[in-house]
Amino acid sequence: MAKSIFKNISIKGLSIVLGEEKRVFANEPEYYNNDEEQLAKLKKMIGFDTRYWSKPETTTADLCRQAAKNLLEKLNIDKNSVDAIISVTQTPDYYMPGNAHVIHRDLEFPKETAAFDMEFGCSGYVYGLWTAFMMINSGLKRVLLLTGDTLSKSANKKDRTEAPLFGDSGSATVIEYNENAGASYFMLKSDGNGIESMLQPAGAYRTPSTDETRKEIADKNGNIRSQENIYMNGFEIFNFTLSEQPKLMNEILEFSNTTKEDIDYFVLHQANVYIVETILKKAKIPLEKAPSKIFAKYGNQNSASIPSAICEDLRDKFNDRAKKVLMQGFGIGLSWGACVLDMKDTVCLQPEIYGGADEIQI
Amino acid sequence: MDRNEFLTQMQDILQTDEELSFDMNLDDLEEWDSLSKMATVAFLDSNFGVKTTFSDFESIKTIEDIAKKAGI
Repeated sequence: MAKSIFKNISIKGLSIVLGEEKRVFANEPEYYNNDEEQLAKLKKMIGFDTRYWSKPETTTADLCRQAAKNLLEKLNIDKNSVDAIISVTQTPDYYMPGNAHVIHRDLEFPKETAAFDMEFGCSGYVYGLWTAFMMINSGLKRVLLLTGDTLSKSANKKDRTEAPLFGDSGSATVIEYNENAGASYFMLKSDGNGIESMLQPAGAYRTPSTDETRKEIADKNGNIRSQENIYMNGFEIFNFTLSEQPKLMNEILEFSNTTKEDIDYFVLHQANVYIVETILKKAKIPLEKAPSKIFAKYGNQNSASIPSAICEDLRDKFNDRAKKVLMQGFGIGLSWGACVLDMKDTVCLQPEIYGGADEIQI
Repeated sequence: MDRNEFLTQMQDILQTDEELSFDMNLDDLEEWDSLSKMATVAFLDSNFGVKTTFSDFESIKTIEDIAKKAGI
């Protein structure tokens, strides 16, 4: 069973950078055959509103690099003091090597800094934190964790089950040894039987890219995608979320000897407003303790949604006493994980558009 | 939950102004779409602890069928 307890480790800061093109749901009625009633229902129930896509030439490494640069500057951290860089992404610049090396080169980290990638989606922030905490626990002093994706580029633009959902962004988090930090608790789970529920079926080595795998095909509901686009069985994923997430939340509370009342903030992966609020309702968590509307502003940001929710909704909350925060990610794999930790004097940067420029509205 | 309350809840799930009855054919309702099916899954799970799979919806034709799944 993957359960860990760590002491003397804390999150020093977080930042998030968004793709530069703002997409507005109201401007995309073609996804739902211009059916205004349906659009209104979706907006109300799921929370569709705005999200940010990166330009064709902007990659996940670009978004994460800017997030990392902003954060290291703000925290006044010397790059020579960063012992390792972890990049969590499913949309890397190259199949090989990983994005952590791209960032290592671009930000001119020293050879003494270890760099590697982890392949995760919506559960990736918790898995990345867990890995960083284990590394600090084994003697490292400071780790830079980068999470993010440009899933808009894997989703077919004519697939309404995917394209309206995803927003592109990259996050950076600094985790470090801190002798004053209390205990942190992690629980991680997986179910490989759910591979088919969410995947990009072709383009890697099991089914290499061919004309056939790139062919766009309409499914029975008229959604068009190729085998090299991301596919999700929304129904299966929703069922998985409903059956496993409230359960894991209770388990991590029990494991960390805390109650719902002890937790100041519940930060769940922002899959969409409906999913987050359904989990919160089932687990009987008051909505004011949990960001739930991040999806409406930024879309589903995959492994960057938890840092995004913190930077957007909670960035001024960690200044006085230590706050107890429960984080929980869940998604592709299937994979899910949760942690309970204290946050104090954590520096959270305001979300920023890539390039520092004003957003372009599409 | 009694049957009247069940029907009121279904009214909310379907977000319809039409008067519902247990024997009406769900496929005749425009509002019986993937969103209301998802809401039905959550409703059955939260209130009755009943798990629903996608194939279950192939045999669910009426509100009575949903009530049967809920065991009321």
